[in-house]
Amino acid sequence: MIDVRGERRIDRPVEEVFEFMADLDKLPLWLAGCRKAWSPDGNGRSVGARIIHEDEFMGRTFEAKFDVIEWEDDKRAVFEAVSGPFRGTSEENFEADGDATIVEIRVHGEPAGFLKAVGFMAKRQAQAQLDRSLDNLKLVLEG
Amino acid sequence: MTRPITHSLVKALKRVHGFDRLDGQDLLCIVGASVNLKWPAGSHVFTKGSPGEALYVVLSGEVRIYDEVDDREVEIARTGPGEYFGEMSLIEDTTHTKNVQATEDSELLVITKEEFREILESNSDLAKHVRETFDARRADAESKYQTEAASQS
Repeated sequence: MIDVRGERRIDRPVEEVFEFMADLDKLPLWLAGCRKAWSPDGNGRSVGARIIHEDEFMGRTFEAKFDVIEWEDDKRAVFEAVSGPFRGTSEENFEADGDATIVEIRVHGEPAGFLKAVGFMAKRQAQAQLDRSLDNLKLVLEG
Repeated sequence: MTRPITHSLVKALKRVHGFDRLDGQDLLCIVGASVNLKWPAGSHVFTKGSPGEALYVVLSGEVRIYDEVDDREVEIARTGPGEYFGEMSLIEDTTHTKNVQATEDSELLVITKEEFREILESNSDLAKHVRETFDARRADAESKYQTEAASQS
């Protein structure tokens, strides 16, 4: 079972943070392990849209597919992983804090594929990857 | 006639001390039940106190095995291609007693505890080799701790 969460206060307005994280072209700039992301359904910013990542995890490259299952501009987005080495959901929550933003990410689910065989490592690695992503986000947005 | 197995990971395992005693089919089973993953230089494979869950075979790169005694690091060993580590906690069924960190980008074959135990049960030669390696490493670690203690006194 993978159940990890992290949050950061980012010194940028919530609209700017949400827009940056929703931009699939910018995903590789902050999401650890993501090499490329695109949507066959336009910009991927609505419930039902599919988002595809080309990801790298501990030397393994793979394609992972996600469906958008919740979307509320500047507040919340939830993605369900439907293929790749993880099955479950990834939630992103946004809260304005004055002129800054509190970003929270939660990842909940089960390892699959090659990760299933080494499931004992999955939680630790998922937390490390989440922390790295949030650190990247803060660094890129705050400059 | 049996065709030789040319899988690159089988060939790599064949070069590992102890595993060279297994036949190609056994090695292929191990490869099928294990996962090869990469650790960047500086990252930890596991830390002291974490559960012993797997045996790690170094396919490329290098790791260092170290402990912390009175806030000082004691390096026990460096392990490179053709060697394995992680067997101590599996044999004694304990948590890890050392830290292991990649000193360069390293690719490791991760054999889970359950798979490792099955392999040992069906391969007495390998079980003997692993036990001997375990005893030698424990003696070596004791020697390093004594040297460290002597240098502090």
